[in-house]
Amino acid sequence: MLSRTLLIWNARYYSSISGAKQYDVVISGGGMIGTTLACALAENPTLKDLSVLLIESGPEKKTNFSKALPYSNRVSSINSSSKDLLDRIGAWDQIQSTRTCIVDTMKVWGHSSDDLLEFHKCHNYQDKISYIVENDLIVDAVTKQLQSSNVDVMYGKKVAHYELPGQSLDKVSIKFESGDSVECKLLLGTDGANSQVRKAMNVQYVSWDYDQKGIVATVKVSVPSPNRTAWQRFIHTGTVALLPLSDEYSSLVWATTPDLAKSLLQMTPESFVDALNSEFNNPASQNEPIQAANKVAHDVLKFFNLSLTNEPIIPPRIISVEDKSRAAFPLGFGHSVKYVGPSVALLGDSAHRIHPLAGQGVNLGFGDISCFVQLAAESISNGYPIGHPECLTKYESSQQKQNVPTMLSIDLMNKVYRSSFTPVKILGNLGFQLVQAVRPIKRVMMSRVS
Amino acid sequence: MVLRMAATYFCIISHSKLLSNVVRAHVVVRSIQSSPSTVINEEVEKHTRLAQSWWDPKGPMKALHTMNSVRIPFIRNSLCNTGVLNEIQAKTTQPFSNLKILDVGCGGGLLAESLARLGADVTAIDPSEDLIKVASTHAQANVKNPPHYIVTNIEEFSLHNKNKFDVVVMSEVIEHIETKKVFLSLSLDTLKPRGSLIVTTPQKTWFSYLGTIIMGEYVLGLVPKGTHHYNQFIRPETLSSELATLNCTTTSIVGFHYNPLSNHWSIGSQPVFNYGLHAVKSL
Ligand SMILES: Cc1cc2nc3c(=O)[nH]c(=O)nc-3n(C[C@H](O)[C@H](O)[C@H](O)COP(=O)(O)OP(=O)(O)OC[C@H]3O[C@@H](n4cnc5c(N)ncnc54)[C@H](O)[C@@H]3O)c2cc1C
Repeated sequence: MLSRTLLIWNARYYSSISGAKQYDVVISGGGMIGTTLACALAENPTLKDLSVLLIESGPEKKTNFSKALPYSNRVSSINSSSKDLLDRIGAWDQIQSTRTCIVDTMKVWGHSSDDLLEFHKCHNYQDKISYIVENDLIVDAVTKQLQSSNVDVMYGKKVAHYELPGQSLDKVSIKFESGDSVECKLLLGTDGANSQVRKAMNVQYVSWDYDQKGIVATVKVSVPSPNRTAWQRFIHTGTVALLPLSDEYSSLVWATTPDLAKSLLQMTPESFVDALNSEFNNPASQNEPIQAANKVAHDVLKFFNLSLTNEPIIPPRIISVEDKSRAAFPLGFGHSVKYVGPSVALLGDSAHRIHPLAGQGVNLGFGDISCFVQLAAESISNGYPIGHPECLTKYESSQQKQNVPTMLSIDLMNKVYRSSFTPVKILGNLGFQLVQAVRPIKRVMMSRVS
Repeated sequence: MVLRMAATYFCIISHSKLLSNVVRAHVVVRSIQSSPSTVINEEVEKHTRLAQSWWDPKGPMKALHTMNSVRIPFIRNSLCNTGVLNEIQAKTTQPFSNLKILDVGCGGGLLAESLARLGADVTAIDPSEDLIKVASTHAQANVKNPPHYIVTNIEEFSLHNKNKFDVVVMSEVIEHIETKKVFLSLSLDTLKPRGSLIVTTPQKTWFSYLGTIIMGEYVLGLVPKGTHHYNQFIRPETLSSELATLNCTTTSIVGFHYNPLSNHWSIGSQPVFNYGLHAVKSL
């Protein structure tokens, strides 16, 4: 009888005595979001005793970022809540003392009628809209913080299989291609838009490709000093945006058709600069119905005593493009219908992927981290074990409420401005005018965009 | 909407009766079917399964699972208010370390286990042998310092455990007790002077009447008629004056509100559906 009892016991606990290392939390994916999440868990007073493992399939990141390096072509526009998070985990000091550029003005305009489409210029209501920071610098600063924490990190580790439990609070088992495995009470998927964790969760994923490529590059600009304006123009092929890096340099994000992207990557630097300048400068199309609609909008606004800034746009002039800084990325939209399952949650691009036109991608992910860490700490201090379903469902409903409207409005903005169908364009223009004139809406837009 | 809320609400407050009936039925069936030679194996298997159903956060206990998110802060805040805990200790991961807590009527251990996880030295008693097995099986696998679970009632237990505990908790229990004053008095015997009594229970209002008795017993027929007696529900004022006659001063009363759609609890000042009461035993 005793041996039979033992047999049952053995079967249940087989994997834990098989030598698989046990963790409270495993974070799968060590990009900006995964690394920051690991730090945020480690520095939280209520969560710091959890055993945490971070797995990154790529090679170990060297932490040797210096001012002497040329600007990287991958940058993020960091809003103030993301900055606060980086500050809390102790990474912001290094970022600020290395290099970052404050954006205090955003100028957004459309392709059809430039005298009317200046979007917002917001000296008066907030000094700092956002900070432009290179992705590599974020990862570098956060990784340094991680090294002084008690988080275990595995680099170059490929996961063969995630075995997710059917029931909440059961263990997750992670098997590596190298044959070994680990077990944890909670798996956090931060492995980007192609998330393997999400696939293992077997949840519905709503996604579409924009049939666009995003070209990034570092460009030298001639603009009045200080260079603190972010520029974005909606054109029929997509959007083109310049984010300031320093008085001399800006970072380009140019979303365009795959064909155009291909030729833009192949052309000489001089032709590329010409193409870019003309994209910013080519005159607005004189589409009559749109102009008529704009006039109506003017009258409506006047009637309600709302004003419109009518400053002409003087776009920045691009002088040159940095060597080898041009690269292209596919763009798409993705929304995971569930962010959580038993003992598993998704954060960052694994849960949501958006068009980079508003520079929101990484900010949504940082928002996920702040929310998750706060709820997890609350849950632990209420005596729940880590990964309790009450905490996970609260995280999901709070972040979906936060993220989905932003994602949809960004998707809509992109669709409206790419449309060649006049009524849709009119709508777009009217949208711009109203946003420009109505301050409360503008404030909401600004807090979302930056 | 009201019906649905009432139905779920009923589930919360009638949990222990309902579950112990389920458990009992199950045990009887198993023991009739099983042959004597496999008794121990069957027991192990049975309790594992029972523990899983009691502890399934989506199962019949789901509202009690999430109730810890108001019960624990209420206990912590109450102990802070009376200086048993200082603000610094309250914010640590083990706020209740150095506290001896008695959970009277612990059921499957949902609250006792959380208290233990937060550092308390917990003793938890329940007259149901089956539930105590469920509770201790689960705790062994899930907490470092599991509660001491004992199958007993307060009459027996209080005989040998006078003036022993810093905190006595009775959560969702007193509404099932007929002789409340005796029950309270015996429980208070186990409390050290200046110790804290924490009670949580449904409010005695038309709403809880609708939820627990009309919906649960008559409309939905979920539990046998007569499981709950409305006249056994107790209003906070009544409870507080009963306690006063037992030399125990009420220091705070808060309301617990439940949203059955999201399965989330919140704390409010008005005891409308369910409430928590904190009282201190006089010297
Ligand atoms: C052209 C372009 C421009 C953008 N511009 C901006 C911008 O201006 N502002 C902004 O906020 N956002 C921008 N974004 C979006 C932003 O880059 C992403 O939101 C952000 O990188 C998401 O971070 P992440 O950590 O969630 O995912 P990722 O950065 O994709 O990181 C995932 C990590 O997981 C690792 N990994 C993958 N699979 C596994 C596995 N199975 N096991 C272990 N590790 C794994 C990968 O190696 C990688 O390190 C832009 C995106 C593009 C394409």
